[in-house]
Amino acid sequence: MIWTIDPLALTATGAFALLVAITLGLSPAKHRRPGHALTYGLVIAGTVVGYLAASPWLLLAGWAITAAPFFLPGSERIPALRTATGLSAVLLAAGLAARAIGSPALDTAGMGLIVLAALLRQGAVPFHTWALRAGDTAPLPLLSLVLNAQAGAYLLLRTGLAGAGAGTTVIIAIAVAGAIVAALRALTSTQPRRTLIFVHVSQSAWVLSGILSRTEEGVTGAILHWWVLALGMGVLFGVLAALQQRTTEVESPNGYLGFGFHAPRLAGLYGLAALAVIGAPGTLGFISTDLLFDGALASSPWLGAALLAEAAMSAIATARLFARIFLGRRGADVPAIPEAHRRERWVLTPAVVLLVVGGVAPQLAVDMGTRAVSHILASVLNQ
Amino acid sequence: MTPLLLLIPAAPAVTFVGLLLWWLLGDTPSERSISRLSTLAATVGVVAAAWVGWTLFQTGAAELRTPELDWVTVGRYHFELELLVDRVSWPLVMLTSILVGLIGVFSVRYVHRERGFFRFFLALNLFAAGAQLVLTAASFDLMCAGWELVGLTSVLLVAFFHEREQPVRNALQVFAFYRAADLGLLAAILMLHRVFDTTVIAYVTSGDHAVPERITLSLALLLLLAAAGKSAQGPFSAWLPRAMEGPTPSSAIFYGAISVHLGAYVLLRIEPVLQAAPLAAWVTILIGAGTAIVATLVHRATSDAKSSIAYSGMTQLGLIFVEVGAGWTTLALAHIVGHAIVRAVQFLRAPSMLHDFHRVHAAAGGHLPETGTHFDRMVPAWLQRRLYRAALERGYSDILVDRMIVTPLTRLSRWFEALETRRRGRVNA
Repeated sequence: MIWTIDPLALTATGAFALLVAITLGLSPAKHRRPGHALTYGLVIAGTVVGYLAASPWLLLAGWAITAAPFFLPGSERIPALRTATGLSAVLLAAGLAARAIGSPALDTAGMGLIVLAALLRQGAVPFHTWALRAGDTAPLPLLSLVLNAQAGAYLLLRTGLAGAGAGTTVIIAIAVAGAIVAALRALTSTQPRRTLIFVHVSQSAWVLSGILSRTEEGVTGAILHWWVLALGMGVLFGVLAALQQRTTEVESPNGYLGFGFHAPRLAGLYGLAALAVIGAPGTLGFISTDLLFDGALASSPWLGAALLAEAAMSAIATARLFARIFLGRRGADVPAIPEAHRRERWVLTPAVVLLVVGGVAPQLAVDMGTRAVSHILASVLNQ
Repeated sequence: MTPLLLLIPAAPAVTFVGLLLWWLLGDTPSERSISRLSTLAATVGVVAAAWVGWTLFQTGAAELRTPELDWVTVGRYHFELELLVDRVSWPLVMLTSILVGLIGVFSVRYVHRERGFFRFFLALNLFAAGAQLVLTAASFDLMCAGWELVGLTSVLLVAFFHEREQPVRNALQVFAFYRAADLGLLAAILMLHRVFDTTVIAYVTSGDHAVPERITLSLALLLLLAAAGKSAQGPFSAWLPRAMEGPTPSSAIFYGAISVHLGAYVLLRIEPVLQAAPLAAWVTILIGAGTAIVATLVHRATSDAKSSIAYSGMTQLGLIFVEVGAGWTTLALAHIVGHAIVRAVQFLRAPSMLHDFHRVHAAAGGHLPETGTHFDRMVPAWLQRRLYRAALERGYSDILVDRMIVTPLTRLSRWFEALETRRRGRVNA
């Protein structure tokens, strides 16, 4: 069997589909020209192949397809994305090959390489430098598709490396430590792109820690947060990209930009998505973070304490970013950027509505994810 | 009775959602529509709260509850949705309903023709929903939801005049203090989920279940941390003067009347837990007393009216914390209600304070007696100078927070940044 359509694959593909819809819907016109279609098409196709692959080798093929556009002549050549996707695919290939040989020592080495590939692709600290470099040069929509796909977490689930063992503890420790460092960096970052990348890195660690907690609560929280990040981070990245098309001031803001004056609906929708990402009540993020905390505490009280501290810093950084972009200056001093136009509203409003509906009736979302959670707990984490 | 109890937080919540949807669909409601809807929501809240109170006192029931509903269930995790009103929470529920309504009416004129009129009433309705949730929640999970909403709306209103940078900076600092203090509430909730599989307040306060001593102490200290943050006590006092940037009506309802007393309310709610953990009770008393002493000095040295009122309020809150820690719950509750009313009126009159002073001064024939001269007699001059200096520095709270938290975190972040830069340099080379 080449493809798998189990609950895990469907969940991941569904979340990615939402991310793609938001990202492409919000992406500036120039990114929807035929010249860019190949790059975006290969990245999307490669990610989906990776999700639906029945075997790790086919998953590797998916990663290779995702990396391909950054190596082809005439396509987008962003060195950082080329490094990240290419190197992670190479590490994954080496890991799979080592494990296929059959010797115990090589099997262990192979597992280590696969974990490295996952953490690199996930952008986990200390393997996050590529994301920062890509943040400086890559188009935000493309970066969003690569970063927010949670491909690294998916790889760990599919290859059974999220199961019990000392390795799991190490991965959790790296993920959580990285989340704290990323949240700290986000606190002091002055550039919106970098702040957003750091927030993503710290939030992604939550998904990893939830899965690796191996509890029903933690895994459910991870699945829900996966969706929250697909929707929420998709909106945050997308709105930032849309603002960059309107004005160059948002690249390196000098003080508070005050864009909320001319674009209050864009600010409001961005704000609601940001609230979901930080786990504010009334959004799906509130329940997902509560469950993730619970799952983390089941693993270790120190892990729970660390995630609490990280959550506070991440929230402050996200609030700071919102304030820097949308609050501040008097109307006359703000460049007259257009308000959210119809296409943007059609994309942003349903995304935000989903996050809020999920927050008001979270049991619906939990029930939708139950099959994926049961599948993960029963067949994946117990491999 | 259940629908009436639900109406108390639901009326402002529905108004908030309705106004928000109206705006998101492309049209901003007129001032008249906004004020009418908000007044209607407040009226419904007052009537519902009054009827609930009437039922409570007429039937002699200890409390009124809605049926318990499991909002989310995952494995051992349960999020219970249940509201309750008893003789501790009803006075504050009634007070909140009335004050939100009155301040809403006041604000229709105060914020008239301000660009942020709609934003103000959106935040006010969301605040009312959040505050009523805190006061009527039967579980800590639900209380946390309301608690966070109150914090969020507080920050949004501090940044109301966001055309200036200072309110925005102050709002972010207030948010940072809130998030730091809320760690206590979140940690308490997590602990209850893990240990008891429930966060129903009565489970730990009723005395029907055996709660290990260290759990009791941890719970009390964690909730004290959250309460101190919300009520601007102890090390968290630095945020309150910064919050004065918002419009005067929001200062009245948030930092005079309701929001700032929610911390004391939480301590009242867990009073049996505090008494079962004497160390926590003593810490409450010490924090309250210490804050009261510092705040009363600062309020005498502050040069602007609203900050002076804020610090004066902080003093009273410190005394309320002492009362709660000492187990004088009825006194504390009466103190909260009375103080909330007085402080709200003071804040609302603050813009007219100078005018009021001149009237009183004229009525006294231009000879108002000096106040505080007894301090000159009791306190030696060198100590007066030291205390005045400390008061001007607002109890050195800003300096302490900056030196002990902000600067170390910033340095650590810059160290990681330098590490990243060096590594990127090596990779590029």
